[in-house]
Amino acid sequence: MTTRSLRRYCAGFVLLSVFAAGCGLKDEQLAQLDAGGVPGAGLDGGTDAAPVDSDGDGTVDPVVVDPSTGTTTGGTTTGGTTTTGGTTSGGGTTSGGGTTSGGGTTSGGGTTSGGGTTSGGGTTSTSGTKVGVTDDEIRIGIHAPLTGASPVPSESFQKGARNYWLDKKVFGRKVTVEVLDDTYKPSGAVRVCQEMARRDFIVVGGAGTDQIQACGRDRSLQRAKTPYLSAGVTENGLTGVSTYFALSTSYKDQGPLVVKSAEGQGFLNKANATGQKKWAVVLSETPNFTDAKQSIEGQLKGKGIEFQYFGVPKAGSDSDAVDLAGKLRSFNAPVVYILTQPTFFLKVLAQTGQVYTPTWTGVGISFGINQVHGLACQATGNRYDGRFLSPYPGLDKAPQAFLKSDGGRVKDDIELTLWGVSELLEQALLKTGGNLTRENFNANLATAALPGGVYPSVKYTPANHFGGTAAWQLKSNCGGSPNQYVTVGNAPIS
Amino acid sequence: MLLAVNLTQDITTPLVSGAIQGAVYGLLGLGLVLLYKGNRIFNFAQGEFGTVAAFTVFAFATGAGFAPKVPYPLAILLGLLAGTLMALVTERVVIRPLFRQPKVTLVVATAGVALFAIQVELFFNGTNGQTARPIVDGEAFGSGGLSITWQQVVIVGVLGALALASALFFSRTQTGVAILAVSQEPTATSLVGISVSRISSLTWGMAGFLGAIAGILLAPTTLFGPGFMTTSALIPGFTAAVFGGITSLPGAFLGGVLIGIAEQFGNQIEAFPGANRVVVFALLLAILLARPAGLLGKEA
Repeated sequence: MTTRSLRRYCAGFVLLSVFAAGCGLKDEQLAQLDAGGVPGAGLDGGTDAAPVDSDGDGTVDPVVVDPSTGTTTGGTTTGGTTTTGGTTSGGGTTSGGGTTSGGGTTSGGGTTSGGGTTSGGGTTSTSGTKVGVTDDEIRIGIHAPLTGASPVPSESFQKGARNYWLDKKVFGRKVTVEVLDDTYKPSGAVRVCQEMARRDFIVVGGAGTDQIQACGRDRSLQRAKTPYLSAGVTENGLTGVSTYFALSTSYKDQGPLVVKSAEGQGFLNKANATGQKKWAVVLSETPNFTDAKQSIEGQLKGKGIEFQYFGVPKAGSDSDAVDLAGKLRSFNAPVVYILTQPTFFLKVLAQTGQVYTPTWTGVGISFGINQVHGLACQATGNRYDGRFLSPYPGLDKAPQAFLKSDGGRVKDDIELTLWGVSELLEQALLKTGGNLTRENFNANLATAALPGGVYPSVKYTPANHFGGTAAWQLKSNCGGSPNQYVTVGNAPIS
Repeated sequence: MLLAVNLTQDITTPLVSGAIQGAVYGLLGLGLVLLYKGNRIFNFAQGEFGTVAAFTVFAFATGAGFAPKVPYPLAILLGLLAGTLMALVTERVVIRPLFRQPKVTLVVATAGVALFAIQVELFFNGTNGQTARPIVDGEAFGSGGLSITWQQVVIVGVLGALALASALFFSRTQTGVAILAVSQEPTATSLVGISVSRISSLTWGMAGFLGAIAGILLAPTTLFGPGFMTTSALIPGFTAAVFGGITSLPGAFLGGVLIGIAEQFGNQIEAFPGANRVVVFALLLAILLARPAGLLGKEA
């Protein structure tokens, strides 16, 4: 090859690379293969692309049922029957307008439990929207990243989503749960949320801040009155959404708890080797973490703690991890508050773990899962000191009912968190009374106090749907028995 | 107006971190240059020689899956063997049958090998990330906020030694010269009694060995998973090879280190996310425009 052709070859390669980077294609494609595929990593801390407004992005239009007229607009109804009042049975009867096709075949990937067909789901009457509720069944849809850059452990998630409901009935109805894969993308989440909203009574966000936010603020879900519930994440864009309910404390509300927990565990004023008492605050640079940043910074200022903020890109690369590790070592804070993709956190740990071993702390859920614990311990030669908040306790405090369920088989913490979510869902359904319409559900939950169980209790008001009141404290236990996060204290901190 | 610069945090740390990260790129670049010198192709499977090696070490060091748990040094040897073996199998099964085909066919074939390897890794490991223990533990140097681990020292040391050894191999040994001869005129070379197939196997084996070293050294410094060397290090490795002069082994070393440093200083431009990559490509373009053959490149 001559110098001239080599020059052309190289110039073409460079231009192609710049073009790919500029188009934003490379990161997304590479992310699919990124080593960051930590199971459970997307439970909350992960961020992806900017939130998607479903009304303008060209995604499939949802079926929107106007309860007052019974008319259906947009898309094709799957598994539903639309009527104007009166009784309804599944299977394709249409009166009062609207397009209907009975059956409800699952599409869009993921797995559907409770059979592949929906029986008569989707009754709408002038008294309320009853999509996903029949005389013998209540359908719940959960989305989570089963694939993509930060997937949750699929098998645990699938089992955990259904485990609680195996032997339970609510108002004489069995509860059927379907889990769909949102591929760790807001656009993917909106697509499956809209799909589930057409056949499920409630939609639950299982993981991923951006995905949860995208579904929570999706107007088609709101117009269909679809209750949308998730563990507490950002409040950005979700405040004032009448159909959204956080099942645990938001990042913002966890700020004071992080500081309180640090105080209680004695590391708020921890000093490094040179006697300096300071914190490093590390967050992914995304609007969805702004409330968390403001909250923790406000708390640290209030306590007179010196701190420095370190922003990192949303999809931090190896190079970004090297950069942050260098800066953290240089700053040498004995305590680091971190809220990034857990995969990025683990890359940073792999860089710093040998020589810089601060106390890592922050909000839950992602950092508190045992898979992260295992990898963190491994990366640091068991020097990892992680103290994170979590909506659920460690497995050492798991309730007997959970441990004995499904024949007493061994379960992980992913299943435990879904057990906690299911407990709250059952309590919320019971608050609705026998008349299970989406309108009733939303209205009753907006003034409800749920006692909780695995998750701490929640209390909503019409003006505040971020009802979380407390959080569990988890502490790493590298090399110990059990070699997983253990619960600090016997009750959640509030 | 005076700019507030923290010498350690803003200058020294990015310089040292960049050089160390760049050493990994250089390690990968070495294998790429070797195959370019030998076969005149860019090998897209180079990263996967390293990934396979890293997973092999991980599996045997931890006893994961079907692998028995063995002492760490033995696991490293098995990893090196796996990476080298993969390269040899690639050469025998994919490259040699296509040897007379246009070079672009070979390049595409290596991309196919990389994709196949990633699928195999996904099959055995799933999408899970893994972390690995370093080859050597502890801090080699620590002062004023700057810290260098022994693992990092090993990375830079190994790269330097390999770059030097490879350069000497091509300039001082008959086998090295034979590799160059085969790459330039295989028919004539075989007429003088040099086995083209043997030379080809040797070149690929060496490239696999270099890739394996890169993977084994990089894995403990990050969260690694299927395809991690391809996704995180191959593009910088290519860039390093081109930057240094695609035919120069010491150039790959130098190119890798310079790119690592440029990347880290790009990270300091906090107002412009992604500046690290832009800086690298801008630097590469500037070098190519000023010196098309790269920093140390020359024909053959």
